[in-house]
Parts: sequence; structure tokens; C-alpha cells
Amino acid sequence: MSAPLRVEDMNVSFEGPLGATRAVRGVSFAMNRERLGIVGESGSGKSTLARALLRLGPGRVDCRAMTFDGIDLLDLSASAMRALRGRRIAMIPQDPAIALNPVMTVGRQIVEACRASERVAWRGAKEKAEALLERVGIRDPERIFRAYPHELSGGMAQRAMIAMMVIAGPDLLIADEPTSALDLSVRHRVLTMLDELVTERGMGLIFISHDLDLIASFCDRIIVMYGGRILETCAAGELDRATHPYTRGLLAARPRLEEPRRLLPALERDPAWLEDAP
Amino acid sequence: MIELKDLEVWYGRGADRRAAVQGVTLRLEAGESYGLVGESGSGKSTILCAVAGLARDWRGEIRVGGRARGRGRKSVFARQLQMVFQDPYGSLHPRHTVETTLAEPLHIQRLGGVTERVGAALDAVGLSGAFRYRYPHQLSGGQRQRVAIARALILKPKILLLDEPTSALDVSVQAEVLNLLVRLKEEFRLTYLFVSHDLGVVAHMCERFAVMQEGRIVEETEVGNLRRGALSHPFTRELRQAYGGYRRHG
Amino acid sequence: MAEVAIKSQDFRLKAWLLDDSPGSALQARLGRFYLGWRAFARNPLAMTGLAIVLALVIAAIFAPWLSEASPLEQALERRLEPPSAAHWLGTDPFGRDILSRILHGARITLYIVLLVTLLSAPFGLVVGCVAGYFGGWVDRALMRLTDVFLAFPKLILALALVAALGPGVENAVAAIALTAWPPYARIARAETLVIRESGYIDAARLQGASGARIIWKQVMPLCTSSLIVRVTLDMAGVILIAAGLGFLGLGAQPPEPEWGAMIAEGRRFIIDQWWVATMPGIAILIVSLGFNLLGDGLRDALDPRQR
Repeated sequence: MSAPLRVEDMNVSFEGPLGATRAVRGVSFAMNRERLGIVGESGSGKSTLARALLRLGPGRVDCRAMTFDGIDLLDLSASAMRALRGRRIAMIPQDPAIALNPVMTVGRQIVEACRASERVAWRGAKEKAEALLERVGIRDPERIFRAYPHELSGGMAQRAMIAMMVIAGPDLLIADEPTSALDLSVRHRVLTMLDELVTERGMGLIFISHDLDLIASFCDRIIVMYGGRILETCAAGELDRATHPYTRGLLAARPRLEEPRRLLPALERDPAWLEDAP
Repeated sequence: MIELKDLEVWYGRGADRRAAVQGVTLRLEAGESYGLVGESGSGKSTILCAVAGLARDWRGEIRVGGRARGRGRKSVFARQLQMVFQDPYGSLHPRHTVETTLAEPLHIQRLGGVTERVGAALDAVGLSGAFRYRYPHQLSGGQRQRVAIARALILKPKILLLDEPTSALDVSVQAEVLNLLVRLKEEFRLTYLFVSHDLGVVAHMCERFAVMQEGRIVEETEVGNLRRGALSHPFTRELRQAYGGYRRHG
Repeated sequence: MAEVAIKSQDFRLKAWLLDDSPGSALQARLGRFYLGWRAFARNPLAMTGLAIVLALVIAAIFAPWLSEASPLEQALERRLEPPSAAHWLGTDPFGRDILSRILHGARITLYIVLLVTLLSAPFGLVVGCVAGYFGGWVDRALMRLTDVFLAFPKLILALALVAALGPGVENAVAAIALTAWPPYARIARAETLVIRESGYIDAARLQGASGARIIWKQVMPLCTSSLIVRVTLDMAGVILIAAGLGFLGLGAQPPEPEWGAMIAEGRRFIIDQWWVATMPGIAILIVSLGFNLLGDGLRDALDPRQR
């Protein structure tokens, strides 16, 4: 029972005062229950792509085909799409501040996310939520449970949100820079939990990040995006053997612990990378 | 160049008083690059603020260029040390053009030759004259950080305090800014106090560094030891191990 | 041919204004202004408001040329005439042309509006910025003072002041200005509290800038746009209070053609000669509406969150 996501020729454009800008251009990919990493710099369209998968704005989405587990996502009614979001496909947005409701305790939000997807009593949901909070490295889940979002630090809020998004047990999780506000030690716990969800529950994971090392070590497969297009797809273990000059440039531009260099090689961008394929 | 002795910095008063930095002693020689590494809330940025004179409550001794820093902010330190901030979006005044931003320190310090000095500073950070009258919203993150560096350098300080100057930037832009900082250091014989959570960046930029945890320095060592993995404190070893991505169990 | 030339010139001007690498500070500032204007001009309601306010200004400046009849000269033989070709808006109980009086009344209205703005907005801005920037006891003292003035009902304090100082436009202005500044101080303080945490304020401190210089150069320019919006929106209220004072006989004194006083005069004839009270009433309505529309439009165009 695989739940593959298939996207064909997706385009997302924004109407601006100076004409339309194309944030995602002709993106096609397919994935199974795996850890798919999308890596790119700011403006590469990776976050826009993630939102477009859930049919969330902004921007006008124009796509030839988009299916999830045999469901045509383009054809789905708005209410059916809402029912799918959160339950079967969940997304961890980049900024927890906009995803958490400021006037509701964190605990209640997590419990409601849980009860929206399965028939479970409040108490059961609460136990489940606290177990999850503990799993993402929150030492005092009881206190976090009763706290309001503004009482949490950035890292706490990000973890609470991750708990809220995975509690419903989605088949596909889209995580947009889920660990950017986390310190290294906490980051490792969160990644371990996501990893276990994939290996134990067979969840599909789209992991979006600008961090090449992280993606390469955590994911199975990597999509490299630049200027709204996919430049290269490769197995995570073979990132070192990436062929595209952009990927190579990014890899070379990282400062590295092992070898001291006086200057880092600058990335030369070639406008040809953005030209439409003939 | 910079000497800290038993530095303690705290926030709040009375019952709310929380120590951010405790018992920190360190010494930077002229021309050195010194790194401060730690997780968020470890006090590394607070040390920078105290050295810069932006922290209100502190105790201990701060000496910059041999001169002890008193309670108040002193204008004499402006030509001695400057700072580059983490967030390139919040560190430039949104209604000031690059020209205004760069000219302001000169006006404050009553220095002449504003036009030439602004041009020279832009030159030094690799921005052409076309950027002179742009507003921050017309600049990319990397360009903003270059302007912030130019602003810090325009008073010709001897010391630059760098608070995660590249953590908000993309890898390729980070490389450009780091290269710029390396070049400027050689050109102007600067001393850097460099705060970062990224071991790779610190290893690239600094000769020595201190690791901070909960307001204290737990280890001070040379970058060579970091490369060799010759680290003494367990927390430093943990940081070293977590660096470079995710390690799957088993 | 000529049209094409004009079009290309227009295009060149636009390109110059929107140039991403302006060649001078002036060009940069004009380009910025043009972007704001474009956002503003796209809003038809805002443009309506601007047109009304401009009409008020034009009426005030050119009142003597726009109306032949004198606003003050009485002619009892043509008192209370209904609107006609000779007197478009009719005449009042002393036979004076109402249109002419309304046009001249625009001068008084504009005078009050300008004076209140000049007195209250800068004062509120300074108080708010200083309180917000320095914090501590400065903040507490200034904000308690603000609270004291905020506690007075506007119209009542104005009434009390005018009753004590004597009726007249200047005293009415003083009374209104005294109650108008506290909200501006509050707004400026709230903005300053956010601004003072920014990196560019820290940078200015490191450069050795004094508190006064930071407030003047860095903080105030960022507070002004929300203040302009608020002041514009408040103008409608100021006009209403001024008219209210005039109506009660505490503002401008007869025979001055103040709109509120004109309504008071026409009150006795409201059933049979409705135009005497209605016409100045409509003038007040339109001008208040104009300021409100303009304020809303400015808010949309100046909103820093959209930049």
C-alpha cells in the first residue's frame, strides 16, 4: 500500500506590480514512502513548492498532474482538500509563530489536531500529545502543554508545532526547515523522531532545507532546486558525486572543519541554468 | 586588544535577575580572530554586547585597546571597535539610503571628506557606486550585510565584533561574505571577535575559540585541536560530533 | 506623432523614477515617493478623499474670486431666499449668499485644522519618541502626563477652556490641540518601543550618537507615517468639534462665516427654510468624509508592513 506522490510540470506564479514572477517552473517529481530532501537557497522556490502541494497560496498554481495515493489533488473539492490536509498530508511550516494559535494553549491545539483525525477521548489524546512532546526533547511536557505560544522560546514553539503536525499520523509530512531554530542537540532528537516515523510507520517525508550536509546525511534522495526549477536529483549518499555545477559550487562554498582554506570558492551562476529546456 | 576579567552580565532586577554570562575571562591579541561558540542562550552574543557597551548591567573588567570600559557608552570607543549584527534585514534603517547609512557615523564623529570616505567604504566591501543611493529593500541579504560591514569599517576601527554575521545568509552568499571578511582583516589589520553557532565557520575564520554553555566558558582551545578532534570538554565533543549532519543509530 | 513622443517621455520618466540604481539622493527619494503615490492612486476612494481635501484648500485660497457676493455684507431685502440661479445655495436670514459664506468658511475650517495639526502632532511625536526611547522614569512620567490629558473628554475640556478663556477661533484651537496630542504620543511611543530594539539603533549607539540624535535621525522618521495617517483620520473629528463649538457660540464669532455657527443661525428656520442650516451641514459632512477617505488611503499606501 504505497502512497506515492506524483507531480508533473508544476508552475507557480505571483502577480506583482512589475508583472508576473514564476516562483516554481516546470517541476516534476515522484516519491514513495521515503525521505526526500529538497535543497536550495532562498528564492529557489522550495517553500512555494511545498505549499503548492497542499494547494495553499500564495500564487497561482498551474500543474499538469498532481496525485497522492491515487487521489487527484487538482480535482479535489476545497472541502475534501481540507479534510486531506493535516490528516493524510501534514506540513510543518517554517515559522511556528504563524502556525500556532496565539490565544489557545499549546496542549489544546495538539489535542485538537489529534481528535480531528481519530475518535479518541481528551485524556487519551493528552497522553499521546505529552508522549510526543517528550519525544521531541521537551523535558517538561506538562508545563509546555499548558503554555500559550508566546510563552515559548522559538525552539520550543517549533517542537510543539512538530508534535502537533505528526500527532494525527499523516501519510506524508512536508517539513519546511523544521530544525532551523533548534540547537544541535535538540535538532538531533527531532530528526530521530522524524526518522522513526518514516521507518516504523512508513510515512513519506519531504524535508526542505538549505543545509546541504543535513539533507545529505538525513534523506534518501535529494532534489536540488534553483530559481524555481529542479537542477538535479540524486541519491543522498552520492551528493559528493553530483554533476551540476550549481550543486558542485554549493558543496565547495561550505566552510569545512577538516581542511583549512584561506578563501572559499565563490559560486559562479550561469544564466543558462534558468533557461527553459528546448 | 580585548581583555575580559571575571565578566558577569545579567538581565532584569531583583527577583527577576538572570545571569546571562558568568565569570568569563578571556584575552584577544591584536590581529587575532577569536571565536565564541555555543547554543542559543549560552551568552555568546551577550559578551559581544557587553564589549560593545550595549549591555546595561555588568560587573568585572572590560578593557578595549588597553582602556577600561566604564559604565556609560563612550564615544572614544566608536573609533576603536564596531559591530556587525546577525540580521541583515533589521540592521539597516529602512528609510535610509546606503549613502545616508554610511555617512551618519562620519557626521556623528565630525569627520570630513564624507563623499570620498563613503565611496572608499563601498569599494572596500565590493559594492559599486550604483548601490550608493539604494534603499535596503532594494538590496539582497548579502548586499545588506556588505553595507553593514562598510558601516562598521567607515570609522576605521581596530576591532570588529561579529555576531553571527552569516547565519541568515545562503551558503554561497556566506562564502562571499566570509571571503570579504578575510580580505578586510588582512587589508586593515583588524582584530575579530566572532560569534557563531557554526563550528565550520569558526574553524574557517578563527585561530582560537571558546565554547560557551549556560553563560560560562567550558573550553578554550585552538582550531587545530578542533580539526584533530583533540577536545577536552564533553559538551565540545558533542558539538563536534553533531556537526556535519545527522548520524543514524546502528 | 506628438502623442507617441509624450508617451515615450512618460515612459522614460517612469523608468528614471523606478531605476534600481538611482544616481542621486533626490532620484532615490522621488522614486520612493512615486511608488507610494502609485499605491495611493490605485485606490479610487483615497483619490476621492484627496480631491475633496484639495477642493477645500482651493476654496479657502480662492474664496474671494470664486464668489462675487460678499460673505459679510447684509441685504435684508433678499433674506432667506431659496437656492436659485443668482444664489446657488440660497441666502441666510441677513440676506447673505450662503455659497459665498461656505467658501469663506473653508478658510476658517482649514485654519483650525492646520493649527491643530501643527500644535498637537509634533508635540505628541516628541513626547512619545522620548518616552519610548529612554524608558524608565522618563517614560513613566511622560505617559502619566499623557494619561491625564487622555482622561478628559475632548469636547467638555474644550468647552471648559473656551468658557474660561473666552470664545474665539484661537481659543477653540488651543482647546482642541490640548486634547488631541495624547493619542499621537501613544502611537509614537508604541512604534519607538519596537524600533529601539533594532540593529540600526544599536549601530548608531556604537557610533557614538547621542540619544537626541538617534531619536531625531532614526526613530522619528519611522514614526511619522503612522502619525500622518492618524492625524488625517482625526481631522474629521477636529472639524466636527470646531463646528460644535461654533454651533454653541463658543468658536468663531458672528458675523464670521464659520460652518457650525451658520448651522446654529439656520436652526430657527429648519422647517421652512431648510437650506440655511443644511448647506453648511453638507459642507461639514463632505469635508469630514474627505479627510477620512484620505486617511484610509494613506494608511494603505504608507503601511510599512507592505514594504
